[in-house]
Amino acid sequence: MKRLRRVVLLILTAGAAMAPHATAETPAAADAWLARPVDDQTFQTYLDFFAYDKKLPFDLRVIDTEEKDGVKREHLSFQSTRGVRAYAHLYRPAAPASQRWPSVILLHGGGPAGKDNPGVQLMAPLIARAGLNVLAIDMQYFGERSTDLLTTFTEQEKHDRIYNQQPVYLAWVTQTVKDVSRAFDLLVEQRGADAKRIALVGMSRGAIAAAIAGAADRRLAAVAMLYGGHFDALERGHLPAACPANYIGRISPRPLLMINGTHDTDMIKETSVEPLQRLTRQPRLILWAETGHQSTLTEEHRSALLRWLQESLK
Amino acid sequence: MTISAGTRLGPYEILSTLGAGGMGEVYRARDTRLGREVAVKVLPANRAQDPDAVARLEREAQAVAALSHPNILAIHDLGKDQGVFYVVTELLEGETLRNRLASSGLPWRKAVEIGAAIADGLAGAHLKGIVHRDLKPDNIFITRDGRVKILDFGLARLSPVLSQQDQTSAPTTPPQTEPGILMGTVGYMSPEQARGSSADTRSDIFALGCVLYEMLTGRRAFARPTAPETLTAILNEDPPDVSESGKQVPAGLSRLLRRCLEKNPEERLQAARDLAFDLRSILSDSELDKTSSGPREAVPAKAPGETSPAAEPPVRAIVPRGKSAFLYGGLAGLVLLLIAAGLLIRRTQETSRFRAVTAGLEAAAAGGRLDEVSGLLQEKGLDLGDERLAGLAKRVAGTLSVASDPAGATVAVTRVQPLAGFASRRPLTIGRAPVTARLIAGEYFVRLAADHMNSVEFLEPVEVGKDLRVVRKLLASTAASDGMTLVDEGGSAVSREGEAVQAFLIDKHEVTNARFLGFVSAGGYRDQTFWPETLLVKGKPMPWAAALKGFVDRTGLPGPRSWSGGTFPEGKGDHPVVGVSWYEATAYGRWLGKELPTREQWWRAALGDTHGAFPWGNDVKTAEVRANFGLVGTRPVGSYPLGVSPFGCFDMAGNVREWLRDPPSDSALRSVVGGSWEDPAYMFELSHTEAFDPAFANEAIGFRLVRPVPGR
Repeated sequence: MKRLRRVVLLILTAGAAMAPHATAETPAAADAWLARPVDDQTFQTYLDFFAYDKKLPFDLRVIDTEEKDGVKREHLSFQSTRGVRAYAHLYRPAAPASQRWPSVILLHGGGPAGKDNPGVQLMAPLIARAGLNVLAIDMQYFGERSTDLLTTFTEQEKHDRIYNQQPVYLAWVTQTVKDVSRAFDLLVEQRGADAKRIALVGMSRGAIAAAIAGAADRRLAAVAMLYGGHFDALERGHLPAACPANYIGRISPRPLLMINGTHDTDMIKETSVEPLQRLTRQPRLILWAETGHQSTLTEEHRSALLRWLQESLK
Repeated sequence: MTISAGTRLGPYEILSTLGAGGMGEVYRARDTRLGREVAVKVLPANRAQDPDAVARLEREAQAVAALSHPNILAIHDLGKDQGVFYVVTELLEGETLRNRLASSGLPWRKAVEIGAAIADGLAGAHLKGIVHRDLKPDNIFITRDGRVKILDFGLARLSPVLSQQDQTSAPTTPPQTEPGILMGTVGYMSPEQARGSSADTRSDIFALGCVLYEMLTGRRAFARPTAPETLTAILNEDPPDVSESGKQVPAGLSRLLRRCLEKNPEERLQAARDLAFDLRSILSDSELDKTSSGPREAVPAKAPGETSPAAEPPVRAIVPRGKSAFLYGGLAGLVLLLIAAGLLIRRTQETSRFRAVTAGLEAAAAGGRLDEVSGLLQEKGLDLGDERLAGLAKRVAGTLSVASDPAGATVAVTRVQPLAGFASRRPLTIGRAPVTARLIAGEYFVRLAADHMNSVEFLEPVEVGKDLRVVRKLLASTAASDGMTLVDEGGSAVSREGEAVQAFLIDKHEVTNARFLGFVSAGGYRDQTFWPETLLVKGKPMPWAAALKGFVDRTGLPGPRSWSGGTFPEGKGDHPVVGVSWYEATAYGRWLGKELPTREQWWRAALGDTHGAFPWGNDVKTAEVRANFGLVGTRPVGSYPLGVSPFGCFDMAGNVREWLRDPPSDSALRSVVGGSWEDPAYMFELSHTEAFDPAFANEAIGFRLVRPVPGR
């Protein structure tokens, strides 16, 4: 009976989410739902979006490996959901581990190269050199998972074809959360990672997805959002099942880190970031830099991120 | 210290001695892990024991190792074994340029080819912020197969003969004891190095100018009997013109050489990449002159006393008369028959070979692989003007017609695709405007250059079967237009109605540290005429004198926040100035009679009438090749030619964000646009315009300036 009720709610929620007349709100009109995230019962229905087949074979393929500056990088692909391959780079400290390493799953921002975006290429080895595994995955439509859906990767195109297309966006968020859960399983089952010490770090668009995946997959030990918010400046409409406002408060009691720029015109401080921060719960660390929206962190905040990871994944 | 054969240094087994230099002994060795032969340089013991020197060597060697440039000696490894510090490099077979020049100068074409290859190597290194500091013929190697390699990149600092300290301690190393070594170094030093100032990328250009001069004339540019006299000559005298050596070289080459050897680095040719480009343009110009001068040039040159084939008497005139006439006639007929048969066979063979070549071309063309078609034509030495390729040309080529105002600009084009390898691709000079060229369809980097005019560069897409016509108005080179390009009147890319923006001039490049130093040195921070009486700092009015206390460098001296000691970081003269607030950018502009661009001006300069998302079009996927979004700091301005805007502005996307003149909706703030080295590429897009306090400065914000068109 309980299961049936959840299915009904799921259909109602998804349907409502995709009915523009019922839910299309401009960001300015979003204050009401931002102040009041969905209740637990509704939230449980959202989790059904993210159910995945744990027994599906990974069909893991190692494409190549390289070692540079004390970091080993494995280029690999695996079956994330049936018939859908995900591509990733696994960065590991070159020194042999005396114990099982803590790990990070890293989600990139909206640049076309995905896990090969300069921000990821800078950040991932940095974290690995601090003694953590980093599995940087391509999110759907980016990097090695590019399709004809996005060709120029301009902001306008991404919004016209994904972020402001509610059914497409919901499917994209759902796939991304499943990718994260499968990446988690892969790290533990195929690469010997410590299941109790895996954090999720997202950058920009990946940070929005990280808030959702972090609440959906409770095995993740901590979540960091770098230059994320609850929507970006070009997004229109409100999709409850894909809105971080309904998830971010549910990351607690696991640690949450948010790093943002005061002059960010993509994730705007007053309208996108601070309202989301008000929904967070302890333990949380909120840091601001006097910067715009960027794909790297200040020196100070890089150190803060590494300290926070080591503390959260003890 | 000499190491005997068979000794192991780490995994390297010493085989034999190769030689010795300022760096220490050099050995041929075998890498026992990879089974290949390498060169191992062992540092002198006194240097290897200096931890600072070794640390610096390690840093620089790591940077050079990351270069991987075909014109730079590759560094494989660094190591220390049994107290011996060593550097492992690729092993080259050939000779140094010093040996090659031992007897005389080189033919000018050869000198220019070698010079262009050296400039390519320097450009690659400068792009990574590495300066050689000791370029000279001894440091340039020509392999047996003709490849040019620059040696000892970054290692030169450790060379005792280069150290300023050692120079001044000359009594212990009197010039006459080691004249070759000492003069060899001093003779290529730039004036700024001779004065004891720091070297930057332009110092390498000066040194390359000296090397070019020596290759052309066989004489050193500043040859003097003693080191002090040589230094004095470098600082105060110009070398004799190349023509005085009796060598005939193109006038453009002499001019280019003078630009390399300018005493003032500001007036010197600024970028090695430009030098490579200009050298190749001179080569291709001369090729063009040869082919366009018609039959006169087509007559083969003949040595004195040689008979011209055209002047030979007709065959019948030499046939002897008499009894043997039939015999001779028969023999002559046979010979003619054999020649005809030979010609027929040869033609058949040539046709067969040509078909084999064009089979590859045809397959590539049929598959739409135009880059491959272009590569094959170049490889086989064929061009689309060959009548046998007329059919192919129709399917793969279009035409580009370029006119300039005034007419006569030299037009050079470089195929953009494939993007990899663009920097080393040789530009093709297609003639003087107006000119039309048939080109394989694709994107081309076009450069128009004329005497006393600012050059202009831009990208054009050539399409199959279409005639693309381009007309460019050139800007006269004056003090006021220095480094600027003309933006025509036209619709604004950012105003809703596309309102017209009046024509204006804009800096081709972001304002560099070196240029900004002129303002600081001239007392720009002390002269209030360039500044408002009251400044807004974090929204609050503040008197000028009080506000200026915040506009200081890391050592408290007036200047950008990124500087120290009143000057910019070493080696970053050609990087964009950062750490400057909107007020400082505006004051610098007033000092020059310029101003920051308006929002409409900036976007018109960046996008023109293209309606693209980026200066090069819509493709953000190539952004990392076309712009500096690389997260590794600023790069010398103009390092990304393929990001050039339709009006010839470089680095509008990436490198540094740029201040705009007018405020956004919140009048207390000022806009920055274009994205920077620390941003994702999409931050270039209009929707990502950000705004900061006008007194704010950081490592990613710089600026460029505009001024009205003269006479309007």
